Amino acid sequence: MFGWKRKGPEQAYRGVGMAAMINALSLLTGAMYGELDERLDFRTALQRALRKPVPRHVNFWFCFGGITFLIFMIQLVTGIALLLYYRPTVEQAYHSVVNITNNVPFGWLVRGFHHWGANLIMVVVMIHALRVFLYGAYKPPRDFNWVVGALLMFSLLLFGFSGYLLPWNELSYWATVVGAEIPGAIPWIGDDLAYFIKGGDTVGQLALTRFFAFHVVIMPLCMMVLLGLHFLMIRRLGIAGPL
Amino acid sequence: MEAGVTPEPTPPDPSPDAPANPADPPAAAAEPDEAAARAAGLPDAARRKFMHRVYNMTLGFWVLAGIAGTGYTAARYVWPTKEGESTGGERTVTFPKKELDDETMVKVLVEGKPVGVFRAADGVHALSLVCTHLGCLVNWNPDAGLMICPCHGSRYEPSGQVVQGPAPLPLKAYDVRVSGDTVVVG
Repeated sequence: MFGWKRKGPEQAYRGVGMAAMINALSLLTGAMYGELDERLDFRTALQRALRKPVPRHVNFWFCFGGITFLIFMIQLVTGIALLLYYRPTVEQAYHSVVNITNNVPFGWLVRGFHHWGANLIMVVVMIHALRVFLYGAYKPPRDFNWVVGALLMFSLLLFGFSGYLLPWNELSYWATVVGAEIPGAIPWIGDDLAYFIKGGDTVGQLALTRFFAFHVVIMPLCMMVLLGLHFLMIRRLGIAGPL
Repeated sequence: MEAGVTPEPTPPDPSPDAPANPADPPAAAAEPDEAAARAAGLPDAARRKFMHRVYNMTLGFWVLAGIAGTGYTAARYVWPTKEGESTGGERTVTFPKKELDDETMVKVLVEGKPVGVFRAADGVHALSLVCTHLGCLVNWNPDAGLMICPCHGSRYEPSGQVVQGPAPLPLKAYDVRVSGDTVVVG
C-alpha cells in the first residue's frame, strides 16, 4: 500500500524504545511474565501492537494525533482527581476550586495540569488536523475518519465550553452567559435550545448542574466511542502516503 | 505456547552506539570475527553490551523515578487533610449591627459552618451552632440565657461551656466584634 513494504531492512522500527520499556516493565511487575503471561499471552499481543512498523516518511508532524490522545488521557486522570474535591453548587463551586488550588496537597498541580491541558489540547488538535489536511490524508478511503475527527474536535470544543463554567467565577459565569447566546441565534429553535442548555432563563444552579453532568459524564462517554472509531479506522486503513 | 506466537526478543538493532547503516551485518554474525571487527575500528561486543545495559538502566531509572514521583503526588493528593476538608465560604463574615438589634440571634456561615451571633447579658457572642453531641443545630434561648439543643436537651452557656449533658464538649466560640454599624465574625 502506497509503496511501503511490510518488512525489510529499510523498515524503521520506531517502537524499539517502547518495546524495551514494556519488556522491562513486564519483568519488573511480573504481570506480563511467567505463568500468567503463559496462559494469557499479553506480552506478545502488546509487543505486536507496539512494534507495528511505520513507513519511512512518517515524521514528527504525524505525532500530534498521539499527543492529543496523551493530553486527553491526562485530562481524564486529572479530571477524576479534581472530582474528589469539587462541589458543583453555586454556593460552594468557587470555594471548592480555591480550596483545591490553595489547600489540597498538590491540588495546584492537578488543577494546573487540567487547565493547561485543556488549552494545549486545542492547539495540538489543530496542528493534527492541519497535518491531515496538508497531506491530503482526509481523502478516500480515510474520508470517514476525517468525519469522525471533525466530530471529535467539535466535542472537544463543547468539552472546553462546559468545563469553563465549573469554577463559577466572574469570568466563567459571563463567558457562559455570552456563550449561551450563540445557540440562541439559531433560527426557529434558538430560544428553546438556549433555555434547554441553561436549564432556565438565566445561568444559575441548574445550568451549573447541567454543565457539570455534561462535562463529567456525557462528554467523556461520547469521546470514548468516537476515539475508539478513530483509532479502529487508522489501524484498519493505515497511515496515509507521503506528500 | 505455540511456536507461531513465541515472543520475539527485542531487536538488537539499532543500539545507540551502533552506526545506523542498514548494510552492517547483524550483531550475532559479527561475533565470530570480533578481531576483524576491532581491526576495522568497530566497537566490540562487550562494549556494545555494556552500552546497551547502561541505556536500559538509564531508561529504567527514569521510568521508576516517574512512577515513584507520580505515586507520591497522587497519594498526597488523594489522602484527606484538615485543610482540604474546608467546605469553603468566607473566613470572616460581616453584617449590619441593626440585624443583631432586631433579632434574638443572627445565623451566619463562617467557612461554610453555621455560627450564631447573639447578645447575652455580658455582651455579644458568636458560637458554633453544631451541637457537640450528635450535630443538631442548637438555638439561643434569650429567656434562659442559654443555648439549647432541640434534639437531646444539651444546654450551653453563652461562652460555649456545657451546663447540662449529654454534650461532651463546649461549643466552638468565634471571635466577634462590633465596629461602628457592623458586626464582624471570625
